[in-house]
Amino acid sequence: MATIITKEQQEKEKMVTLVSSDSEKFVVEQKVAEKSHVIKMVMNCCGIESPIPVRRVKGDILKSILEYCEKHSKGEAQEVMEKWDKEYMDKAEKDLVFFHDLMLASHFLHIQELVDLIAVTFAGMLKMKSPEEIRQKFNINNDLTKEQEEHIMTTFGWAFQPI
Amino acid sequence: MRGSKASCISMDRLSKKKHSLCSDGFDRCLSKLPDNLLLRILSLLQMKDRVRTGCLSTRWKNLWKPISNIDFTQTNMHKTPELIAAIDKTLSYHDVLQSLSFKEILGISGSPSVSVTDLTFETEFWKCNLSGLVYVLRDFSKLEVLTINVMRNHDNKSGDFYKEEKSGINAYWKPDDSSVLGLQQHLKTVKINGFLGSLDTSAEFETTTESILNARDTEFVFVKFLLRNLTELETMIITITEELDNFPALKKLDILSQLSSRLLAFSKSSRKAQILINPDQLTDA
Repeated sequence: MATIITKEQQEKEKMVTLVSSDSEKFVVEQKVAEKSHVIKMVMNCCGIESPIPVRRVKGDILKSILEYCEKHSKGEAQEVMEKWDKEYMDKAEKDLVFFHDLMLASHFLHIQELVDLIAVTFAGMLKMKSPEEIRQKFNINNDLTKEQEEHIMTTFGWAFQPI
Repeated sequence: MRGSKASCISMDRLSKKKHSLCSDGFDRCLSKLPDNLLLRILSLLQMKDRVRTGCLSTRWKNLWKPISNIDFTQTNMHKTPELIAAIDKTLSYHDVLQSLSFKEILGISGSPSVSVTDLTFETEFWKCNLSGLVYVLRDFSKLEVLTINVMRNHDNKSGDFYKEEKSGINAYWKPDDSSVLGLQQHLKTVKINGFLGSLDTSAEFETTTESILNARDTEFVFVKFLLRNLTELETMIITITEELDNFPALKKLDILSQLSSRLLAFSKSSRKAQILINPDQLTDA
């Protein structure tokens, strides 16, 4: 029947191909890709027939991001999602470089839910830590002068009391 | 599902992979993150954690300062004056404050559910402090007595926020802001000590009374705002700064009368409200 063919065609049309910066291809449903506002805008104006290049995001990062988008386009129960999000973040934060790339990519692709999730996780890493501990964890080079550092310490002394 | 098959994602493989995007190490990468992303992260932190990031490096030094919500909930400052000093200091760095919560004060009274009824707040009453004051009213919705001690300006407290004075009052606070309207059902007494802050007493002969008062316009704006929005206000006690004594007696009288007529002319939403100016001195006389 003609109607069935049309339905199938519609199904087919819903798939979109995304290409990462290192030319890895991902075929995902349109609603999954739509989780990214940037990709959604591209799809709206250019259609989904030709592959969409995601130039600033590498394959492994895009893969992980699409995994998130796919899970979050299913509309599962909140408890299930929260548990899944936690596991997703637990894995991601083990590798700080990967975590960083994921954060930047989700920001660049405008996936607000994921940016929020990562921000909460990141904030958790900074919580209740001394500046030295944070510097060590993230390998931050302290380029403040002694005077600057002392000034901050005295101005906001209350923030530097023992935790 | 077709979609899941097509994307076939496995996180286990991902974490084993090496990423070379940040060849200079994580630090460089962190520094490259856009401000708004880092601000998003910092805004989720408690005040104490947030302020501490200012000590990490030059990149982080001033990053936390524009964040518009302030949360003192987890500070372990048990002394109220200490907390007020900390809040005041922080306020002076914030010209676009949206929310201010310091629930530790509630902690002192034993239970977080007991809300503050009496709050003393010190401020220099610069325009940039106004939004903070307004949000104090919003967040302390059970307040009954509000005491504001106007501190004298200290020249040594130079810094970024003075520059903000030029941008005008409306840049960060609209006097018509009705966000606190109706929230203050309990506030009955407002005391403002040291009203007029530090007057410029050096040019008393040339300067007209009007321009002396205009120079401290912020305080009038705030009083006007309070009178218009506090529906249950009963008493507003205004004690004028001692600096006034530096003026010759006639000038002092002129300032007092003009100030009084200005204050009394403001419209009041509470019918019970009465404004007392320098009540102690009146009884002395």
